[in-house]
Amino acid sequence: MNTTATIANQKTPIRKYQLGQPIIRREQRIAFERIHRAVAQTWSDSMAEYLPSDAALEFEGLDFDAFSSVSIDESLCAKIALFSIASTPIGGFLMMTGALAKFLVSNRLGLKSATDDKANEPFTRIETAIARETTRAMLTRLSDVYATAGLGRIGNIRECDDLADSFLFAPDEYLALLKFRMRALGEELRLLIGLGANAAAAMSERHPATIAKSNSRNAIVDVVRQLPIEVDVVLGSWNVPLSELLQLRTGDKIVLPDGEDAWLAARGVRIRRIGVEVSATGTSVEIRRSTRMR
Amino acid sequence: MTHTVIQVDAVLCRVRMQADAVAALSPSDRLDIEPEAGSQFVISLMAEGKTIAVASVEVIDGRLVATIINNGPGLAGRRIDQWKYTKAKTTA
Repeated sequence: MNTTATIANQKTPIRKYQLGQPIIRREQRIAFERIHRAVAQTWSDSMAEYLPSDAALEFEGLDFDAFSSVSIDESLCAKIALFSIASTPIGGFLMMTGALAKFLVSNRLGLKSATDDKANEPFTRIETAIARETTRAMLTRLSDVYATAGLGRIGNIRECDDLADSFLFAPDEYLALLKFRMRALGEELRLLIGLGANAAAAMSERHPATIAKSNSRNAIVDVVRQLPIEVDVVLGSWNVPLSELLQLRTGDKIVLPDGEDAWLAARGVRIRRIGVEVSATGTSVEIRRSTRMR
Repeated sequence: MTHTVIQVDAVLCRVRMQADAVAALSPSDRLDIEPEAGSQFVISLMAEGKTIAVASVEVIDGRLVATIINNGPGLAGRRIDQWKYTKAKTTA
């Protein structure tokens, strides 16, 4: 099981940024990945009754790529469902490869898994209904997890025979691609969720609890923001030979700078240019437009 | 050694502000600063973060003139009195 620490320590391969590709902050990525690990776990738990004990869906990873790059399984048994996330402009799809659909349906019917020569045969009507029901059940659980995470509920579900003709996304539109796999029958059976790239932005707008919990950095920033800083109002400075300074006596008078070129300093570091007006009752400081400070 | 030149800062007052309040200061913001009750209107002459002399301040012929009221090693490291500040946006 992945903990927050281990997830945070996982190294994401660094890839060259391509123009137009969405930007996702590290915290968002971690939260997004955590959500989909939970999805995989929920799916596996719900299928545990009929799946072999060693068969479980795993979340493989998150990637961003153009819609045109998505490899579509053209198997007759592949299942594709389109959906949208309620109250958001986010659209998405769930695509189950034919091999995975066959495996799930066969196990649900208590049949032996399809042999190689039957693997490419289309579903019967009953099998088609079971495959459809399985997909719907998976989307319901996906919806529950998304709703809990603050992304919103999934709605407007419709099946699709050919993703390329769905008109859901433009070919060059970037998507968040969430890859799942199940190891069974000596191979990896795959499932893919594609979401409009604005899904990541929606997460940051809604600040789901999962992000807030994972983002201990924000807590540190909040504390740092409250730290008290001693700020000096400095009228000016001048260079004095030590010999003159040593002769300074009580009662000596010094003409001070007029306050037009004063500054605020914190621990000796100039932080703002200011103008200072001194009166009998107090001092008024006006922040000036910054110029390069030393 | 007496030819050594030292930079002296004339520090009018010191205020304690939250880091985010400092970060949020923007041009034309105004801080009205008044001394804590009982504090004199003084200026500190500081070198390398140390107070080397304290002077009273008065306006003479439109110029700010400081009169040294205390100096010497006894003042080294003395803290400047904390002053209060209120922030008001300039309406002009």
